[in-house]
Amino acid sequence: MSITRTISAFLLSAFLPLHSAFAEMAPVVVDEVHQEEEIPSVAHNVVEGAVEATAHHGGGGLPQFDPSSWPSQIFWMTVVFIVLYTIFSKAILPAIGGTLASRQQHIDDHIADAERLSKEAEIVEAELTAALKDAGQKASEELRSAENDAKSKMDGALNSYRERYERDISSAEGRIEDAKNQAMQDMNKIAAELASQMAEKLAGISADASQAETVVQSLSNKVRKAA
Amino acid sequence: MATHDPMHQFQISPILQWMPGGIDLSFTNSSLWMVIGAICSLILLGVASSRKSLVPGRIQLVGEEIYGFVENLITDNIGQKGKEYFPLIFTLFMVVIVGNMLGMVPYSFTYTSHLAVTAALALLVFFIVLIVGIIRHGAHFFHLFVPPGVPGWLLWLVVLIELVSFISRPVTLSVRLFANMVAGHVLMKVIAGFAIMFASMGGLAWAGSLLPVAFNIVMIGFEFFIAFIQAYVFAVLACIYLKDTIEIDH
Repeated sequence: MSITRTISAFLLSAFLPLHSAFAEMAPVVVDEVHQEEEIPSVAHNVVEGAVEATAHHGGGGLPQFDPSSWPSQIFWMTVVFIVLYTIFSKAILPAIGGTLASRQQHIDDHIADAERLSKEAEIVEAELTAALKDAGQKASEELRSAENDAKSKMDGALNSYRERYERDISSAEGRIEDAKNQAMQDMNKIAAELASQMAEKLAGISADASQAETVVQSLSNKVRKAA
Repeated sequence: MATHDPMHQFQISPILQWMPGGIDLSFTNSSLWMVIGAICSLILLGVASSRKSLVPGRIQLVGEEIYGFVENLITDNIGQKGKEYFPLIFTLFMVVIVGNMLGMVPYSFTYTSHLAVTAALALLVFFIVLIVGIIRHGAHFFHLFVPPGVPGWLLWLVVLIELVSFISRPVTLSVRLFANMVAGHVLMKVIAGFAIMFASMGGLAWAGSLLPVAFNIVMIGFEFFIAFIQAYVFAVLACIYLKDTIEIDH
């Protein structure tokens, strides 16, 4: 027994700072109680018990250091521990772990689903953008070609119209020129005739029409040269 | 008036005498509270684990939080390979925290306040480390005591220190828990004793009991904190010790 007491005293002094703090506190309380003269048995017992426990380990010391209860405690702790270990490891921990794992699986599945769907959506979006771009390109191409067609058609029409009216103008000018020349020739003939008739009437000279004509011709050539 | 002895709460008294082969294995108040603790934890975790809802309810969440807490403890302190010790650490943690918490119930018995119990748990960890370590690593396990880079003339001292620190592991592990439980419970009992002392003096002296009562209210909260912290520390240290069976740092 003396060995256990030594051990317990050592352990208490080494590892129970609160305990030893209390040991210093206890005598102060004793003094206070003594001053009151009337010591209630409850208070006395509290203080005495504490003092005994810390200073003398009265009545066999701390129950913790009574080896007679050790086998029972260790035995029942072992029994309880083995029972708990078995049930925890066989039933409870796998069950909780399974629940947690299935929840994690569920979350992971949903995240994977969401990722897959967002990837699909991205693909669809890309397709849509490509189609839109394509359509835009096609539309602008068609627009441009239609524009070009219209422009070329208009150009063709304009050109043919211009050609036609240029041709018309030139033919009209030619006709005007012809008519003018004709008119000039006719005028020369008329002038020659008129001159020959005037000469006949005025002077009684019958002039040859062809001779008059050459004279008029030379005169008009002179006028034309002077002009 | 033995009930006011602050040490009386640690007294072990047999409920059912049982002495097979002359060894006293009686079912005591300590054993009773171990069984109560086991039943409490089994009911709590049994109900929690039977609920397998995708969105957990309260009880299920408690079970899953404890599970996750211990799991993190192991992955943080041992690593991924420490999963094999999960049931062991979980059981240790539950036994200790339930013992500590039940100790806060008035008139209960705190089985973790007894050195025999804490030493049994600590020695369990110690021998698992020793036996599994030697089986796994063989002679290399003893490199644990020989840190690299120590000059030859100092090696004997370092090995001695390492050896002592290794052997003192179960001692510190068990004494830390039991001493914390004893100290806290004794202090609460003594403070409560002061309150009773003032209250039973008669006259105006009852007012003097207000201070110890107020102090004890704080102490009770603090003791719940200690009850958790000590279970946590026990589990963390068990993890750190068990790490030696997985890998030896040097």
